[in-house]
Amino acid sequence: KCPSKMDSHSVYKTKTVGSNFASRLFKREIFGYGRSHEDRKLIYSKYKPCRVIRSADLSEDVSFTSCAFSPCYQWTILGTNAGDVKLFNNATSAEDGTYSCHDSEIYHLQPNSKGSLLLTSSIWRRPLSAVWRMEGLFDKVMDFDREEYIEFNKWGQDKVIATNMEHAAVYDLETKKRILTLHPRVSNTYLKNRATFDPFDDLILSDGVLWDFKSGKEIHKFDKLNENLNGVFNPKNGIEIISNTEIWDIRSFHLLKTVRQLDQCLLQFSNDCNILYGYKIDREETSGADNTMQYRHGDTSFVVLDNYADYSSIATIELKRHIMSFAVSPNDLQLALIENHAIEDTMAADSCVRYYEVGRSKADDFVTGLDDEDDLQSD
Amino acid sequence: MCCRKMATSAHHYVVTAHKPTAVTACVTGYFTSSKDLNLILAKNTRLELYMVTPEGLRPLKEVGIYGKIAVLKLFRHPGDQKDRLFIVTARYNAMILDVQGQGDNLEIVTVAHGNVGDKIGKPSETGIIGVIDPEARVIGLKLYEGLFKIIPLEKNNHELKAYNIRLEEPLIQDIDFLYGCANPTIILIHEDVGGRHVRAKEISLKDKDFTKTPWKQENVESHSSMVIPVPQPLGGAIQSTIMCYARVDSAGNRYLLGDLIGHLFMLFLEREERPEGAVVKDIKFEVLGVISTPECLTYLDNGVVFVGSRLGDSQLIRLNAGPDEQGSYVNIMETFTNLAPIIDMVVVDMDKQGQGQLITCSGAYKEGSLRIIRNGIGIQEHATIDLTGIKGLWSLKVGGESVHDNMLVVSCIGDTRFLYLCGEEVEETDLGGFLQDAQTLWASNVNNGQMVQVTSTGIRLVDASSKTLLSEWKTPSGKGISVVAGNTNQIVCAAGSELYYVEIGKGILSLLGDKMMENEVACLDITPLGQGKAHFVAAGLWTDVSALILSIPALDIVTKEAMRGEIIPRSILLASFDDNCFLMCALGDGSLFYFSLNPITGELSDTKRVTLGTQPTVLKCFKSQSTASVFACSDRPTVIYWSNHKLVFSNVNLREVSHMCPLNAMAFPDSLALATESGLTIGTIDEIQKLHIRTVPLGETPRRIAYQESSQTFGVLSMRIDVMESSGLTPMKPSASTLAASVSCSSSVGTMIRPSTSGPSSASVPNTPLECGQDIEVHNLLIVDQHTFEVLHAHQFMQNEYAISIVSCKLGEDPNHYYVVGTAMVLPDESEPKQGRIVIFQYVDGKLQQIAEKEARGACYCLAGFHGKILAGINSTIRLFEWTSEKELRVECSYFNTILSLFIKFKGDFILVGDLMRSMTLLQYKSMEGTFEEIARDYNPNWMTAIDIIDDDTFLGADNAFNLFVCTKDGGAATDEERCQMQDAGRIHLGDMVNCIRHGSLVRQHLGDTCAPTTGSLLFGTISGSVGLVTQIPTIFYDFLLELQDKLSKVIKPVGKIDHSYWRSFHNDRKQDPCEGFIDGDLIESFLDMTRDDMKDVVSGLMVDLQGTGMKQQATVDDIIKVNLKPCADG
Repeated sequence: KCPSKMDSHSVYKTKTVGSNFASRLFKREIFGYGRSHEDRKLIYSKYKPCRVIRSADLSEDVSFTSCAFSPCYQWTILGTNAGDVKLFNNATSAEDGTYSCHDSEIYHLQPNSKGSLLLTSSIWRRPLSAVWRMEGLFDKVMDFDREEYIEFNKWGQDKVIATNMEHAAVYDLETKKRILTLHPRVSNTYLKNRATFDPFDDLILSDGVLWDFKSGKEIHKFDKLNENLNGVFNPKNGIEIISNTEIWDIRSFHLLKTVRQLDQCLLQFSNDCNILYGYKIDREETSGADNTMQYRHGDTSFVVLDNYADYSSIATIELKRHIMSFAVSPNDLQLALIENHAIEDTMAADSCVRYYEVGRSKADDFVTGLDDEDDLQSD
Repeated sequence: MCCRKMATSAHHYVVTAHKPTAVTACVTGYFTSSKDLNLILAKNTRLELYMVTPEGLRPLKEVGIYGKIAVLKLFRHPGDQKDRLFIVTARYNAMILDVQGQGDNLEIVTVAHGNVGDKIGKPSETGIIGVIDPEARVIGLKLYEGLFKIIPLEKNNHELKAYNIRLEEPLIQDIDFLYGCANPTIILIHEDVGGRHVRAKEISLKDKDFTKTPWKQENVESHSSMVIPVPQPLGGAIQSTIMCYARVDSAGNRYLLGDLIGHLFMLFLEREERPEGAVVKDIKFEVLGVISTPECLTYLDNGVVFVGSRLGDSQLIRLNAGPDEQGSYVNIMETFTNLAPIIDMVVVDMDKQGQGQLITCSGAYKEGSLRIIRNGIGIQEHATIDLTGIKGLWSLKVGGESVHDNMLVVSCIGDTRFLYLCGEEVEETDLGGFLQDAQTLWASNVNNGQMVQVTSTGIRLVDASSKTLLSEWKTPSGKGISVVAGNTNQIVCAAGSELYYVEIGKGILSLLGDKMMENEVACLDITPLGQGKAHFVAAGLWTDVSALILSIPALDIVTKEAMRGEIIPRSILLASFDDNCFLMCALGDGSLFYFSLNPITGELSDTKRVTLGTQPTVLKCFKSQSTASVFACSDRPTVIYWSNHKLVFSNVNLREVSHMCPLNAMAFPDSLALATESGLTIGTIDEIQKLHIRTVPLGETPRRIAYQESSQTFGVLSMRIDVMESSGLTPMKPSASTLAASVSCSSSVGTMIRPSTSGPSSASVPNTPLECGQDIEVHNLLIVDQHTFEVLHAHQFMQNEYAISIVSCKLGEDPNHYYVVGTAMVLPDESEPKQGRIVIFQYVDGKLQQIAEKEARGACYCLAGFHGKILAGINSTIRLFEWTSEKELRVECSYFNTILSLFIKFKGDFILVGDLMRSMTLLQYKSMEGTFEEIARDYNPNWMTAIDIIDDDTFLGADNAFNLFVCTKDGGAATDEERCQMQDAGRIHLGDMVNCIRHGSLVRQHLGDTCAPTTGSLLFGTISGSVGLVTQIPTIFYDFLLELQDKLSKVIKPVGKIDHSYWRSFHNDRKQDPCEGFIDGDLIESFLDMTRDDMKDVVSGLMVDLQGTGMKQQATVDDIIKVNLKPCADG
C-alpha cells in the first residue's frame, strides 16, 4: 500500500503549518531556522510612534523636507525648505548643527555607508545638487549645477550618478570627473526620472532604459507604463527591476509581476533588503509664474511589502499627515518620517519628524497587560 | 563622522565538549579505495568516514569541516575506479575531495574548491539543494531563489567556478538529474498557486541556459516533495511524498523509502521487457517496519541499511527476508546515540559531588527523550556485601593454579576476614597461614607462587597452594609495624621512625636495608616504575610534612620535597603513565600533591596541588582497559588517568569509597572491590574518558525542563500528538504523558482521558470544532523522578494551550517549592498568541496540585524565579509578579520595550532580556521604587535563540545565524548615550543553532592549578546535538592563545581550503565581521592531535610568559600541552 495521507500527515502538517508565532518558535527549536521570513512579516506589520521633532519648536521658521539617518545612528540628518542641513542627535533629540547647503528646499539626502559623505538635491537655484564631506568639517566636495537628483553607485560608493531630466551622468568622486553620459535614443520622459545603478554597479537604469555601465551602451528600453517613475533595481537579488507597479526580469525583460500597492510610490528598502517600503510621491509642482510651488494633497499611508519572497503585502500603515520623506534606521528597527500638513499658499508648512519603532504596536502595551487594575503603565 | 569603539575587556574561550550527533546526510560508495565500501556521514560541521565490513561499521576517519555541511554527494568521473566526494557548506564553500593513503595514514585531499556564493541573492527558502549529473558532466546547485547554479565538472580543474541560469519556477521543492540524457537534464517539483508540478528541463552547456522542457506534469500529489530519478534502462523518475530514499540496486528496481514518522517502505518497480525496451509494468509497495525518524537512508550491502536521523538515534538495520511476529522486516543491529535537537537542558549536581550532570530535552516526536549526560566514571555495581568498618582490602589468588582472584582479604580493626569467591557466591572462610585475629596491613600474591600477609606483628610468607607458613619476619627492635608497602618482590615497612627494606625470596624474607628516619613514617610505596624491581621507595613523614624518595636498598634520601601546610600525608604512590612518572601524595584534608619524577635520578619537579575531597585519601593503582590508572579513595572518589599528554582527574559516581582493590575473579572479571558506606561493593568501571549518556525515552517531544530539589523531581513540559477520531481525541501512540503513574488535566481539556467539560477555569478559549482525522498538539507537565526517571505524574493542559516555560522556585515568605508554568493559547488563525496563563503547581506527597493561576494577555515565553517573585516575558513585555499572602499573583511592575521577550536571565537585581529580533537588553529592578529601569541595550538587530549573563558586565547571546557574541555594559562611560548602549565585545561563528545556555560544568570545579586559568563556565546545547562550553580567560592568556591559534591556522591545512578566519567570522544576512574576543578552542585542541614534529613547527617562535613574570620566553611543546584547556571541557 502507498503511504496514505493518514500515515504521514501529522508530523508533516505540523512541519508546514506555522501561521502562529508560538508554533513557529516550537518548530525552530526542533528543525532550526527556516521560516524566519514569517517572523519578519509579523515584526514588520507593526509600527509604534515613539518620538517626534517638531519644526515649530525650533527658533527659526523652518519646515523639514527630507530626512536620513547617519550610518552610525548618532544623528538624524534633516533637510529644510530653506536649503539647510540639520543634524539632530538621536539620543538627546537636540540639534547638533546646521549647515547652509542650498538656496531652496532640500528634497533628497543620502549619506554614504561610511558616513563620510553626504549628497543633497534641492529644487531650484543652482547648484541643484552637491556632495559634502561630513568628517571633521562639513564642507563641499563637488557641486552639480543642473543635476536635479544624485545618488551613489551601489557596491563601491566611489561614484555619483546624476540625473537631469531624461539624461544621466556618472561622476567619479576621486577625480571629480564625469566618466559617462547617458542620453537615451528614445526617451520615456518620466517626470521623476532618477537614474540608478544595479547592486553590482554593472548596469544603470535611467528613464526606463537599461544601460551597460562599462560600455555605456543601451541594453533595453522598458515599456512606459506610468508618467513619473523610472524604477529601481531590487537590491535583494539584483535580477529584478521594480518600476512603479511593474516587476521586470532584467535578463529576459519579461514582466514578472504587477504590484498594485506600489503605484506612484517612492521606495525604501530595509538595510537587509528583506522589507520594501513604499510611500507616495507627494510633490506636485505647479509651475507658477513666480516659481513657487504647491504641495499636492498626498496620500497619508505607507505600504510594507515582503521583499524576501514575493512582494506580498505585510501592512499598510495609515497616518494622519502626508509623508514628505522616509528613512530607515541603520539597524532597521526604526523609521523616521517627515510628516507635513499640506497647507496651501504657504511655504512654511507645519512639519515634524516622527519616529516609529518597528515590531511594536501602539496597542501592545495595553493589550498584553493583564486584565486587572493592578496593571501599571510605564510607557 | 561616527565611530564606535569596541570594548576590549572581554576574552572568551569556546570549545565543543560533545560533538554534534545529528546525522544530516549520508552517502555510500567507494571513496577510500576501489574495493572498500564506505559509509560517509555528515554531522553538521563534521564528516565521518566508515568502512563497511562484515562485522559492521569500522570508523576510518573523522574530519572537521570549516562550515556546516549542506550538500554531501559522491560521484565518479567516467573511467575512474573510485568515487570522489562533493561538499557544499551553508556559506557556499564548495569542494571536491579525494583520499590518499590508507589505514592510519588516510589523508583527505582537496582536489578542487571555491566559493560559489553570489554577492547578493535571496537564499533558497527550501534550503540548499545540490545534485550531480549521473554522467558527472555537471554539478547543479540551488542556492538562491530563481537561480540554478551550474558547476561544469572537469577532472583537472582545481578551482570550482559556477554560473547561474534563471529558473523561472517558483518554490522549488526538489531537483535531481535524470539518467540517460544526451544533455544534462534536471527534473524538479515546484509549487505555485495551482498546486505542485513536475517538470524536466534540459541544460545546454554551450548556451549556459535551459534549452527545452522535454516533459512536464501539472498538478501532481499536493504534498509531493521529492523526485527519485530511475537509472537506465528504465529511466524517468518517481515523485513521492516521503522524507528520504535509498536506491537498493544499481538497476534501480528497488527503493527504500522513509517517511516523516519513521516508517520504512520498499518500492519495487516491476519491469517488463518489450521489444522497444524495458518498461515499468507495476509499482509495488510494502511497509517493512518502523525505524528512527529518518533524515537520510543509505543501503550498504547484504540487506544492511544505515538510517541517519536528526531527531533521534541513528541506526544500522538489517532487512530480513520474512516478517517477525510483529510483521516487521526490520532488525536493528546497532544504534548511534544522538542528543539532537537539544531543546532545553539543566545542569544538576544530583550526587552532591561538586560536579554537574546535564539533563537534556532531546529529540522530537516519537524520538523525544531525556538524556542524562555526565562526565567522569561510572561504576556498574554487580554485587554488594554487607560489611562495614573496612580498614583495608586486597585480592588474592589462592590455590596455586588459579589465574583469577578467588579471595578477598578484608581488614577490620583487630581482625581480618577472608571472603572466598566461588562463582557469584561469596562465603567467609579462613585462610591457612594467615592470621585472622589481627588487622592486616598488606596482603598480596608474590613471586614463586607465594602470598604475603603483613600485620603489626610482622611479615608472613605463605605458600599459595599449600597455604602453609613458609617464613616469618619481625622487626629487630620488636616494635610493631605501623606502615607497609610492597610489590611481588619487595616489601618496605616502618615501625614508627624505623624503616626496613625486605626482599622476598623463595621461602625466605631477607632484610637488606634499614634506616632511622627523622620523623615517624606516615605512608610508604614501593611500586616499580618499570619492569622488574623498584629502584625507589617513596615515603611520607609525620611532623615535617614532606615527601621523600629513598634509594634501594640503603634507604638513603635521594630527594626530599616539603609540602605546604600542616596536614600529614596519608597515602603516597609512585605511578607511571606512558613512561611519564609521578609521585603522588594525598594529605589528610583530601588534597593531593603530585610531582613529576625522574625515574633514573629520582628528582622531583613541577609541584602541583589539587583538592580531591575533604577526608583523608587513599591512593591505589589499577588498570582499566589495560591503561594504568590511579584510584583515589575519599569522600569524593576520583580516578586519575593519563590522556592527551596530561593527567586527568575524573569523578566516580559513588558517594564515598574508603578502600579499594582491583579484583579479577571468575564471576567478576576486570572488576574493583570497593569499601563504601553501605558495604563492600564489587563493580566494573566504565570506559574512561567519555561522556556517559543515559537515555530516558519519552515518545513525545520534551520542550522545557526544570529541577526541583525539594521534591527530588524534574518538571518537564512535553508535547504529544492526539488524533480526532469519531470517539474523540485519542493519543496517536502511548508515550510518557499517557503512561504516567497518575494523570490530571486543566479544565476544558478535549482528550478522551477526561471527557470535555467546561470547567471553572476563567480562560475562555474559542473551541474550534475538530474534524475527524485532524491532529492536535497536546501539552503536558510531566513530573519525573530524579533517581528512577519514572514519570510520576502528567498534567494535561487545555486544547490549543502550549506549555512553553517552566521554573521551580519559592515565592514570597511561603516555604513551599512550586513549579511555575507559562502557557500560550495557540490558535492557527492568529499571528501570535493573544492569551496565556501562568499556572502554579505544587508536587507534594506524590500529588500534583494547582495552587494558583493567572491569566496573561499573551504567550508567557519565559519565566524566572526572582527573589521570591516571578519574572515573566509575556509577548512584548516583561512583568514582575509578587506572591500575595492569599497565594495569588499580582503585577508589581512591567517593562514594555521589546518586540517579543523570548528569554530572561537575572543576576542580583539585573535582568537580561533576549528579544526575538532586538538582541539583548539589560534592566535593573529598583526594589525601593518597585520599577524596572533600562540600563543598556544592544542596538544591533540580532535574532536571539539563547542568552545568558556571564558576569555583572558581560552578556552572552546566540543568534539565528548561528553566531555567538558577547556584549558588555560600560557603567563608567562618560555620557549617558554610551552607558545605555551595550558594547560589542566579541563574536564568533559557531555554525550551529544554540537553543539553551546554562551555567555549570561537566567537570569538577576548583581542581587547583591543573587547568588553565579560566573564570566561570557556561554550557550550551545545540540543534545538532552538540554541547559547547564558554569560559572567560584573562587577557594575557587570551593574547597567547590568539597567537597560538594564528600559528595553528597556518599549519593545519583545512579540508576544502576554507580559511579559518572566514569560517569563524560573525555572519548574518546584514553583515560579516571578523571573529574577535573569542578563542576557537576546537582549533587550539587540535594541537593535541598533531604529531610531535608538527607541534614543534607550531610552537617555534611562540613566546610565552605563563608565570606572569613579565619575561617572555620561547614556548615548548610541553608548555602548550599544559595550558590546553581540554580537561576543563570534557575531561
